[in-house]
Amino acid sequence: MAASSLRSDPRLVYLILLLVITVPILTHAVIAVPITPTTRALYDFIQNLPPNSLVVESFDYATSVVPELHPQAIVVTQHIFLRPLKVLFVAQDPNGPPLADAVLDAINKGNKSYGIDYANLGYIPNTATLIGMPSNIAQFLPLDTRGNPTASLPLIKEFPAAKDAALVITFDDDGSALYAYLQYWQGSFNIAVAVGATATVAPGFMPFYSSGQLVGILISIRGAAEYESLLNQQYNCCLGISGASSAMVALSASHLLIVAMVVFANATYFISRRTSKKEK
Amino acid sequence: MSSDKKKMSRGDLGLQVIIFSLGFFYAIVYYVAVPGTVDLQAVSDQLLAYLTALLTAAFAIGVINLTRVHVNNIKRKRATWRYSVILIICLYAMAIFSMIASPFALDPQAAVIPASVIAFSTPIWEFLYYKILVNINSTIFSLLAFFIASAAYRAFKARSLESTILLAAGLLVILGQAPIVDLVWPGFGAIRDWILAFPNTAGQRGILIGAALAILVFSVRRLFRYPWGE
Amino acid sequence: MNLIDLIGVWVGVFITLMVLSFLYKENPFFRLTEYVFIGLAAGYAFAASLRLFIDQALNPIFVNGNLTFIVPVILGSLFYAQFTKKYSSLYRLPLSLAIGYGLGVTIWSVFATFFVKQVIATMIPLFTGDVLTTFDNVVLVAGTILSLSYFILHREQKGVWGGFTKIGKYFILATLGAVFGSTVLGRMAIIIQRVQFLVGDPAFPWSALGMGTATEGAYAPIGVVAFLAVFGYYLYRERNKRSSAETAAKAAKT
Repeated sequence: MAASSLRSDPRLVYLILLLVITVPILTHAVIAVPITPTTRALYDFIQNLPPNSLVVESFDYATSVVPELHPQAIVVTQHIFLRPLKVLFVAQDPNGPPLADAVLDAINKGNKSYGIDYANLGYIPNTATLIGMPSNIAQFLPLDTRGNPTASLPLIKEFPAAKDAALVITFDDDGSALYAYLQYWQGSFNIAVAVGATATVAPGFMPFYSSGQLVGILISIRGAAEYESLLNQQYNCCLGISGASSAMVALSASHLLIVAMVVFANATYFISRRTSKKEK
Repeated sequence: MSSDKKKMSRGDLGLQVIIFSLGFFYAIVYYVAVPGTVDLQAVSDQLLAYLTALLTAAFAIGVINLTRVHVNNIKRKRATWRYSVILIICLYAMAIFSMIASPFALDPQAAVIPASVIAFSTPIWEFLYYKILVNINSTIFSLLAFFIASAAYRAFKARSLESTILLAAGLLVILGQAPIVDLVWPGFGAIRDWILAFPNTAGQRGILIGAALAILVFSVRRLFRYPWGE
Repeated sequence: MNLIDLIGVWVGVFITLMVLSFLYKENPFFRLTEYVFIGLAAGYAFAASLRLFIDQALNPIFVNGNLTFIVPVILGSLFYAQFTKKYSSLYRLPLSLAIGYGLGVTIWSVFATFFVKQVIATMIPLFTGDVLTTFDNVVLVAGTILSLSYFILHREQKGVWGGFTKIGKYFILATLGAVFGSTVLGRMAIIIQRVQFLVGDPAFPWSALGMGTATEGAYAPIGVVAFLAVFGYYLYRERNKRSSAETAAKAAKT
């Protein structure tokens, strides 16, 4: 009877899912998160970058996947700002620049200054610009998001070409930005590439990690929670800055619900199949 | 098969010559350097700058299309005409405030637009973007969570060997990525990592290589206007 | 506490619940959010595109004095010819330039990244000293070759060859299963964050998402209650309308 009610009205399933998610959130329960190898690889890579290296952070996600990728952007940006590194923010999605600004407003920037240690160059409008940037950033992105000429920024005077970057990390929701970086930046200039990915596309990036084309992968909000945990172990800070860690109990509960539903559905299916065979 | 061959008009031929010339140039510039004569890379970079300018010129096409369709709805008083009014208002309001106050503002340094106008518009733009647009977009996507739960219950039955393999891989990955399960027995996490690193990578790699070959063949065929159907 | 941020939280809550109300049934609240979303997204995209046009096309002409950029601007303006009846085919000219460039770049970039490097990565030693590593490598190499063989469609998949392609099919199914499992994580992450927002959880990244601070966020549940009241009233009126329509129809029949 339970099986037929769930089948006949999917709203019952929606309600159960909503309750299973809401209860852990209301209890504010937090659990430790085991670290996956791809997250550890990215963390170690950034942690071991030589001082004053340039990291390019590319915000390539739409507002629809903000819950998955924004926490990743927060924790990675915070890590970079905790280290003596320089960072350039760019975006291959028009929603990238305001999301980058929002991340910058939320993290602890220490004593780093805009224009010297970091800058937001905004949107990369097309492949032509992306291909040109490793040779000359200012020629292809002439203004930053604040209207300053890119060439006048001390950071760009220090790193006039993107090929001098030690790492480009893209927060990508569909793979198009990552493939562009792999094809044009890594293919021609051997720049190290990493990705913060949504869970849907992350399995598709594993061949690139396996072949060494990617130095690390963060997978969805769990990757952000793992990264928070690593930051906390190293710097004794940052647990909860992105909200990812507090979502882990609800995440576990929702996953167990899906598994339970599939098992229950299959059990009723096999039982009904056996019953109908017996009747025959 | 020969009836599928289309005769190219002069205009088509001219366009195909353009496609071939530019495509061939960009295909070989990666592989060829002609020292001492022409700096192909510099030519390529300059052409890239021109192409960028050309492509950005199409900035208004989306807005023109949307305006035409919805103004038409309003004129003919179709069933959803009131919603079309709201769409047009939101479209132009967001466009104006974004031109004044977003990261894509036309005059961020207040050289032409008065600073007071920018200061007035910025909180409005932030309200429209962060409090409305971001919320709508992420919530629309979140509906999929409910549909996936419903689909998992209704559709994922192990009816055959194929569906059993798919289901088993899916369930093992789901269990492995639930942190609480991973803490109870780390084996689930290890199984999930193994599935993603080996069988998944193998399958994805096969698909990638196949797709790369298909894209390559299509691109070369398109460059030469290979007759379709032959 | 910032009043604008507080109102923004309540507006955000209303909008979130208006979208989620679709789960109960299709209704005017949801439809309204659809149209608002399209309008706002298109307006923002227009402003972004216009700024890029000015930076990449107009500034070189009017600021840097490089008049050669007039040619691509004129060519690019031919995209708008599609809105005319007589000259609509002219848009194919700038499109051809974009296609030619795209094809040329694709040839070398796709070949290197998606083919050469992936094939090289598959050339790993099958037999190593360690049993587990050997097994892993065999799975990787055999899986790659067999999944690729599944897409060779010019030859009938039967006999020994059919056996190979069948195993390739199983690898692809395992891949799709892994993608499904991973997708569950992604979808759940999104709804969990939405619920964190609705209940006013302090762990929600309020400032990183431009929603003020946790102080204003704590009042989000008030918005939830308010929306439920409004939506409940809407459902009550719909039910009354339906029952009076049914009564009128019955009366008309008799």
